[in-house]
Amino acid sequence: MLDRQLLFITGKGGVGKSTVAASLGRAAVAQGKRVLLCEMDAKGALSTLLQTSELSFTPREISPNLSAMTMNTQDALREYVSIFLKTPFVAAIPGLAGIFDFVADAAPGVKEVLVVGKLCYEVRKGNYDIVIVDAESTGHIVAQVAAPTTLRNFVPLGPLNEQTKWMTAILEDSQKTGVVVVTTCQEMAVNEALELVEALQTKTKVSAAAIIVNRVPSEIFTKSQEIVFSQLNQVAVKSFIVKKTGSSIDLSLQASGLARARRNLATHHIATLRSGLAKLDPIKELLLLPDFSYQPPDLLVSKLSSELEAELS
Amino acid sequence: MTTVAELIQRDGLIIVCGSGGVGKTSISAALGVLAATQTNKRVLVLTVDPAKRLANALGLREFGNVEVQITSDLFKTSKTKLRGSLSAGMIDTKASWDDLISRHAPDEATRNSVLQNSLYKNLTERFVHSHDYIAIERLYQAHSSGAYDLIVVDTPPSRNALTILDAPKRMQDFFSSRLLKLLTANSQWQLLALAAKPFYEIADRLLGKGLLRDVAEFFTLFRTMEAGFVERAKKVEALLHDSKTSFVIVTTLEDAPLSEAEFLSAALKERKFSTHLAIANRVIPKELQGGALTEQAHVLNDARQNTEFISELADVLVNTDASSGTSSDIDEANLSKLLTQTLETIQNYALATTQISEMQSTLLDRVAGFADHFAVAPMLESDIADINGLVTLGENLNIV
Repeated sequence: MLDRQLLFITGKGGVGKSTVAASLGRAAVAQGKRVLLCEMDAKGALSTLLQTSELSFTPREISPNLSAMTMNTQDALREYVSIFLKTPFVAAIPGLAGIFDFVADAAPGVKEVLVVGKLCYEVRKGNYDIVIVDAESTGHIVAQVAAPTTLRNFVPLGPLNEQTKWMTAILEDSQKTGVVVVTTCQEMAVNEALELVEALQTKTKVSAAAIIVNRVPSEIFTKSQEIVFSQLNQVAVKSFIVKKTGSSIDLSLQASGLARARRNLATHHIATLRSGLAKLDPIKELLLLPDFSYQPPDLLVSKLSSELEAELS
Repeated sequence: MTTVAELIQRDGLIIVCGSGGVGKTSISAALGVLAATQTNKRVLVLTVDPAKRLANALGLREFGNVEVQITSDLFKTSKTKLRGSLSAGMIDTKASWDDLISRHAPDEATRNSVLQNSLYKNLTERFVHSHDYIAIERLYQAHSSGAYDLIVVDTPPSRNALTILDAPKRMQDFFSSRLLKLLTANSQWQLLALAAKPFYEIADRLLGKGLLRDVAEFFTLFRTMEAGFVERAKKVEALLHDSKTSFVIVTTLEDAPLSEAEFLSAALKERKFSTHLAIANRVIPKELQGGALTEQAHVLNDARQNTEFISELADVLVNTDASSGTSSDIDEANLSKLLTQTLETIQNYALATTQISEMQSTLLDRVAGFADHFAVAPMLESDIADINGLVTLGENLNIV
């Protein structure tokens, strides 16, 4: 997965996209790569996770080999116009930037092309070995990666059309670009992940690089422990324990039983994910990451990135 | 701020918001079920994209804009019975937009041109955040139909729950924007060419000739519906600010969703919407909080190291299990070892549960920080798959 040059990290809201993106970034640095992390919305989750100050459109090296930036359509437009159209930026003319924004909004794919174009541009420039994008949630990603193609169909001529060709060449090369779909072991998140993988395969030529199941609860009991656990729940056994120890262990049984049920539920949803994926074109990588929900936020990224390093080595 | 019991006694709207994945839809459905079983109200639960099993639990089979009344059949196996009536509906964005256009279009020709315009879907999506606007619009429709006393709506999975509340205002702003007027003015092209010649040239270079014209054409059509849309948006906005509209913020006791909930609460206050209740979901059940569980963990710790106890317990297991013949297959030395390990695992999870519960109680202080009143829903062993699950969840919410 990290051998690619451009990775979009996406998934349903709340599954931990930003955490996974930041952790993948750290894991890639650990592999000796120069990494650019890009946050797609200005929510600031990435800077918090990386424990750094607010990010801007201009990438900033926050630790050796790890740079980060935040995407901004206005800045992307400015840069695009000056680099590719060799025209001074329209914002110099009062009011025009707003009108431009309005029209750019209207045409399908224009905004997305600016954004995706910036990412592809960073790939092409080669200052980084890999660009990892903390992308928008599942609803938007297909439109985003397909934008150059959409736009080309919509605007058959013109310089923008020309520009979309090299972007497509990067995006549609599965050696270079991939989408990483993050999910948790919850029904809706799994459904969305499956729908997204299918949409990527049917509506775009961009490859799904991997599925990452985040927050997988660990196994509670081994198979033979399961048998003992169910026996410990029998009335006769329970009363023997009370007689001998002077205390019931009911609450402990309930607590481990709850953890066990949560684990079984997760396993069930992961099985649904696997069988759903098997019906689609085979995805090379399915990674399961442990549940660190109750870890302090500052340790989250370092724990997950070591986990990812181990998984990916 | 109110309790859940007070909340379901009121007529009006309950808008349930919160970060993704915290269980908004289940909570909304449970509130609806609670209201319909505790009061004699006519209740509607509106949801955007329910999980399949939850939809089934509510008796929803197919996707669409039709509201389905839940028959008392669904409550057959439940101890609790319906006192009022309960309906459920989904919000189908595309169908709702088409409805809206049909309603506001001045004539058949305009209606057809808009619906068939290739930019229609894209433009409505971009400019007015159609998902959000439609959710609110549907809410208004259901409310003004007079068919329901209480409507619980589950907000769409939008990155920021506020876009839904700002949607009516945004719709009004859109129609009054200078840009729209400029684009759709009769003498548009001269005007644009005159005032924005450099822009026009660049836009053509960038986008290709003719695109701008298509866009303008669409908006010219769209503007014929301005009066209808604006009037409606104003009414919808007034409804949101009505004192009968309650906001409920759902969160789990984890850092990220909680930060979002805090942000949401502040933003609601800023917009002068009042948050009536916060709900902390997936909380460690009450009986597992506190000292009793920790004490049991200590008992387990001693017990599993007591070889005499272990060997006696192993005998008990073999004897009680004679009929099913499971652990009797394992020889005694191994059974003792297995027993020790299992007890250790149980001890570990008892302690882990205690730790999680302590962390949750610290985070619950943060909920108390933004909400004067909150309800707590327990972590469940499985997903909600039937009406009984919703009844139980509702009853849990109702415990003060």
